[in-house]
Amino acid sequence: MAIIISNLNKTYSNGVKALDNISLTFHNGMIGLLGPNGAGKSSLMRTIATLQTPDSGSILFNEIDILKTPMELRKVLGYLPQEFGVYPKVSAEELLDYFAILKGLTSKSERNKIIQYVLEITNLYEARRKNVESFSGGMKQRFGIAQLLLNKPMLIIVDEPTAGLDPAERNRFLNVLREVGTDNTVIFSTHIVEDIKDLCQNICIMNKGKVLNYTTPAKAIQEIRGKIWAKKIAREILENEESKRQILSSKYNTDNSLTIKVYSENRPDDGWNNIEPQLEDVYFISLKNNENK
Amino acid sequence: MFKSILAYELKYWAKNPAVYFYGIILFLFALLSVAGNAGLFSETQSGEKSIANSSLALYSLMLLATKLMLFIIPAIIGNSLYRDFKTNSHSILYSYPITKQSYLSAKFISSLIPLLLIVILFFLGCIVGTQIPGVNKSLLLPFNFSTYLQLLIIYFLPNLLLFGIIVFLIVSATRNLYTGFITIVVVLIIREIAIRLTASAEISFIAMMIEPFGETATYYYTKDWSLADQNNNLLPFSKFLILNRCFWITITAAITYLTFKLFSFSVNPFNLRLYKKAKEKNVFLEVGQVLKVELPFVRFSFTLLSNLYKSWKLSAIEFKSVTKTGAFASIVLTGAVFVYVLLSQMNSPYGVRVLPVTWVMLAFPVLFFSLLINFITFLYAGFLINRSKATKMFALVDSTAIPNWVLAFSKLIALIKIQILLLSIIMITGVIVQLSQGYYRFEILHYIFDLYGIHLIGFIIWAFVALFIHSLFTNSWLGLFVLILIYFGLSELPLLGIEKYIYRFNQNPDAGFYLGYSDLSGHNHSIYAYFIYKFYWLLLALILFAGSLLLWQRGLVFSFKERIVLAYKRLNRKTAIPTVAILIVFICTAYSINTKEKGLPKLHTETEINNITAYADKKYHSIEKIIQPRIVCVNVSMDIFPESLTFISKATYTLINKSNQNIDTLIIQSAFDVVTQISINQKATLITNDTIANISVYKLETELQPKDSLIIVFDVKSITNSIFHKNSLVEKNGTYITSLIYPTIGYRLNNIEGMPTDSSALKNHNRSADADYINFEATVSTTQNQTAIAPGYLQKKWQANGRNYFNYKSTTPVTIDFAFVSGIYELKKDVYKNLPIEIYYHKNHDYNIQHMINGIKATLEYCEKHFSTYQHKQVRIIEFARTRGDFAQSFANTIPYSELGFILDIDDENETTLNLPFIGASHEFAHQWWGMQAIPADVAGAKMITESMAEYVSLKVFEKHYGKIKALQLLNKSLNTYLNKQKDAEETELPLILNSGNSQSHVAYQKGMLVFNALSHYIGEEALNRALKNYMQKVRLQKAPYTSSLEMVDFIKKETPDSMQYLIHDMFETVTYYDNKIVKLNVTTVSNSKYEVSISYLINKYEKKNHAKTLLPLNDFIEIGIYKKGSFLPVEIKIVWVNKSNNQLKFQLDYIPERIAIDPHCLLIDIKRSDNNENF
Repeated sequence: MAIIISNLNKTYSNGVKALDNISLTFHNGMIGLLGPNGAGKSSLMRTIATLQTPDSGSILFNEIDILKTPMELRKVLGYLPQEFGVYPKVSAEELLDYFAILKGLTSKSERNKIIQYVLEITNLYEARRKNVESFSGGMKQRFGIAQLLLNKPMLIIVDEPTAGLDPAERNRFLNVLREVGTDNTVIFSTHIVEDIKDLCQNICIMNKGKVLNYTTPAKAIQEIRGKIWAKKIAREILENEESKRQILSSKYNTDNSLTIKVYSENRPDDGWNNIEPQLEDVYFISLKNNENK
Repeated sequence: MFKSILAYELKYWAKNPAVYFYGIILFLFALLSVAGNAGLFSETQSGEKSIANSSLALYSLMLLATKLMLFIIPAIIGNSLYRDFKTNSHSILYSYPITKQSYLSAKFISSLIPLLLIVILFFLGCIVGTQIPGVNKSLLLPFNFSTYLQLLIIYFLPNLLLFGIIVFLIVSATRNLYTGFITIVVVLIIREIAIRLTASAEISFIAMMIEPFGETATYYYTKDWSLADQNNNLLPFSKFLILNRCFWITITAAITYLTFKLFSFSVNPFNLRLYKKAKEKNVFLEVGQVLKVELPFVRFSFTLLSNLYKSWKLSAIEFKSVTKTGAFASIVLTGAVFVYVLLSQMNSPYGVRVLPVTWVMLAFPVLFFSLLINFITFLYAGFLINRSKATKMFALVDSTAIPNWVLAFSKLIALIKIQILLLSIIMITGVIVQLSQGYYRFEILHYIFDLYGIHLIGFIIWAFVALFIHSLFTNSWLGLFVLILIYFGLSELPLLGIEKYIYRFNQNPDAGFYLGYSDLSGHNHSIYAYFIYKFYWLLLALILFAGSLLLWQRGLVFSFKERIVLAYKRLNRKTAIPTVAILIVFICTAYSINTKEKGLPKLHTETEINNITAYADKKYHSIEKIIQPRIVCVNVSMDIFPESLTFISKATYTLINKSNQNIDTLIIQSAFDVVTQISINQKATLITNDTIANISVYKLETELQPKDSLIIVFDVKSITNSIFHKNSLVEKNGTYITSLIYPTIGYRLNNIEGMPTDSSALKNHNRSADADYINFEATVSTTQNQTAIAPGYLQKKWQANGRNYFNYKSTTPVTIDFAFVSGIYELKKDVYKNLPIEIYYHKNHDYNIQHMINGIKATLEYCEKHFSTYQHKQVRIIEFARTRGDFAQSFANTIPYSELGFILDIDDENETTLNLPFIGASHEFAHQWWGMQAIPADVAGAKMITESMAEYVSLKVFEKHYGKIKALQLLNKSLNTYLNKQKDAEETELPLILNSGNSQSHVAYQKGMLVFNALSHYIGEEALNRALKNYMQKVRLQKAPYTSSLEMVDFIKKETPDSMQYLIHDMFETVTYYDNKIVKLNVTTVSNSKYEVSISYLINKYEKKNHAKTLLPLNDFIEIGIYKKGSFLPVEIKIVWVNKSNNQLKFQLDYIPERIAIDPHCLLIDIKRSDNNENF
């Protein structure tokens, strides 16, 4: 299974270039899309999910051009957008039945079976008779996963699913996602680096419509091992340090001092310690590199 | 804060193209209406002219505009609040330091401004419309600012404000804009219900108050305006209108207060519920363990069949989303109440209710429900199409492998289900009304076929249109408005000269065809044309469906251009081929309907016949005087074919030259809309053959000597029927054909009636111009299960070729008019004074036959006693299908009677019901004397001898049977009918002895009844009947010259004392009427149980002649009636002789009178009887 994206472009009518000549290939496994707001993650995901059309470029799914025959992809697609609403006054069970029909399940008994199953694994079975619109944020996201599973998707696209979830909810959600993503392709966008670190085989960093880096977390970290340097400074001298070199990130410590990080082949100065790189360092390096261009 | 919200909102509206669209539409609507009324599109018609921009004309235009704007109100006023809910910005907004007063008032006021702009554009349209080149300036008044100001301040603004605030309240309470639209509809239905419930002959105070637009109150003041008033007056601003306006402004203020009070800045809507819903429990979920996900085995199907299944299943959810709302429930409820009120208050044209038979239950609500169902379709099509967008669920839906057509189709099915549900209201309410009125003959299949077999197709076609328009417009409020415009605009197409139904989308070629149902003959023939046209428009609907699919919004589409590109992309072979195929079928259907309709024979319209007779009168004026042989014997065979709706007839006429001259020219005028072949048993040359006026003139080779006879055979058959038109008078059941289908001999002018003073005009009687009395024989055949009847006595009955044959023969000479009836009948027999009475009626129509028999018996009794013996040995009434008319007609011993008379709801216990079947049967049977024994000459005033007398007899018989109170009701009804008709009549009214023409029928009928009754009261029934008996003896079955009204009046005069001769002059010879009034009534107690009554009253008598009225001197006897408490009839009558207008009367009573009335017995033609009474 493969998705081959070539030279994808999209410019919105307000002039924003959401997709800037993107070419990517996704294989089985989980792919984390990482990028700040407005990076083009959602545009890319919606385009793959056949919800919008690019100005140019092509997307091949198992050698099928999905821009021409989107139905073929939709049959195996599970999509959970960043923000979604539901029909009011419809219970979880009824709404899942609705989606099951949409997804092509024409046998009533089979629908019942799979609906019960997805309700159970998303731990919504108890709430099946409640109206989905009254669900809490986490329940709603899990409902999103439940509906997504109904057509046994081979390609799952989830857009910032963990935003607004409490840690327990988030944990549970990622577990479910991980489970269903084992044998399939999961494209998963977030701006929380932690989500990706735990889950994804591949990471794709985007900004301003471009792919900055497409790699595996391990490889990315390996590449910068020994090149991340940290230093603890007082808040007052941050501007001073910034003028000297490009700071990758800065973080407050409990004693109101700051720990700042730089990316450098060599130790920049005394007082900088080499530290074990984190995935977020990879992210920041990519963004900074892009900004410098 | 108020200012900044206001400024923000105004900026929003200023940039909203929909506002300008609405404004331009209203502008054009006003402009075209005013310019059109001012003659822009048509030649000025002669006669009286209506001014196009008079206050009243602009007022009616404004009322239309108001109703159109009611559907813009939610889109603007409701939307101003709804936008905040929809974008969720309310949760943020509400945390700002805004007071709800400033928030609400800014929202409300800012949305009023675009509405005002639209109103102003409407008025501008009116003004510009008067200035367009090409309008007729004589139909316009100069610009008058106060007219517009009045309309704006008194009507337009308060009405918009009222509905605006109602919508504002509802939207803020429910946070749902659809509810706002539904509320408008519900309020409008409630208004209709209120109007119907408060309706009465006199406009009541409550009726004026309860109507929220001020329409009833305005109508109260303007209903009696003459044309000059209508053209020149400003609208009245008088007591009841002011009260109405104050009342509704108070209501508006109260709702405003309520809105401000109830509104709260919470994220959840405030509760309009009376009870609080139990709070739902939150299910708390533990963080579960990691599970192995192994989805159960399921199959996916994407075949056509499974897609259809999906559409069906999805539609159930869509359907529920509409019907499970309170808004929809309130539509259903108010709709049902409306239908119930409508059906239980239904009146027949004669003031007596028709029984709640199924076709009645169906026919009337459908008109109203068409509006409702179409509006609901238009509204909810937008709702369903935009639903996944509006709820932000579209990304989930649109990324599934469901084809667009399945989604679109599911919404269409949901709409159709909604339509079916709404149509069911008619059936359910109809059955409830039937139950409540004790009618238990439920015809559920009839309901189902009419509602779902006939009407539903039209609604389905609109559902397709709605789907298309809402797919085209992303703004569903704009889509709704456009749909309403299309819907109402289509009915105006004929104004633009588009009259062919192949160009008039989804319009019915016979708009009232569902009113034409008959229990005897079933649906009207035009049902076939209906289905053909519906099929035709359904094809277009399918093409629109293809259009909807091309424009279908899926996923995110950012611009219209992108949608066009997408639509073009979707136009592939799979979609284009079927679309083009349907398009080809559509065009072919249009072509074939058009050529078929053009080539087929069609009946003459009334106008065509009028034009032809006018032309013929001019052309053949000279041959009118040519002496013709007279018909003496008629032998007809008539074969009726109810299966094919045709007939074939052969009529053999024997004619004799009754004159003393030789006749060499034979003039034959054939009937319209039949095929006639003429063969004469002598050599004759056709010298004139006018195929337009159907006139043939033959030259006889050998002249017809006096007393010589001639035989002519006419072969007459119906013209071919087509699927679009039924061209014969034959019905599937209940056929009624009169002798008008046969040719007449000689030429008779149509538009000039002879005068009774002209003795040469007395040579023909009014039943026919070509015969005196004839021997009549008829052989009628019909299909196996029907009975066929013609005048005369049944001689023989046999079967041949699987058909029934009947031979009828008159044993005494009769006049030449006859009729044939054929149907499947039940027979009710009775005998009275050795006279067999037979009623042939449709299986279930047995409700009123006993009343008819009673009417026949009582009439026989009365007429034989007072006038002469009945000339036949039998009488029968035969029911015919109401498709042929709502009347009855009398022929020799035979009375065909319309179905309608058999299904009137007669309840003799009910004080207000007049027994019309009794009266009708009596009237028609009385014609056997008055019209068939006393046969008037064919001159003006003839109907006094026939119709006035039949009315008089039926009144007298009715009074004997049902008492004075009911008779008085009948008299009052006749007076009202007469007064209403004479007010609307175009021609000058002629005196009763000279009455003529169909438009003056109220003189012969209603006035005739009043006059003869009055006379019988003044000179005594005995005396009058003696006069009539003497007259009858003289003229009974006489030969030419025939009698006239003058001769009859002479007999009456002989029995009238000198002091009352003035009555004959007033009532028969001139058009005289009274305007009497009680001015003052005083009752004083003289002593114990002695009371003195003093009244002052006005008596005015006028004569009307050539539109002018003159006050007449008085020398009259007037009755004054005194009523005790609870008495319907006067307990005492004072007859006073008056010779001046102003009169006083004093008398003593030993009881307290309840009421005093002038002319309590309704003897005088008084143009206003309501002021003749005074209560103490």
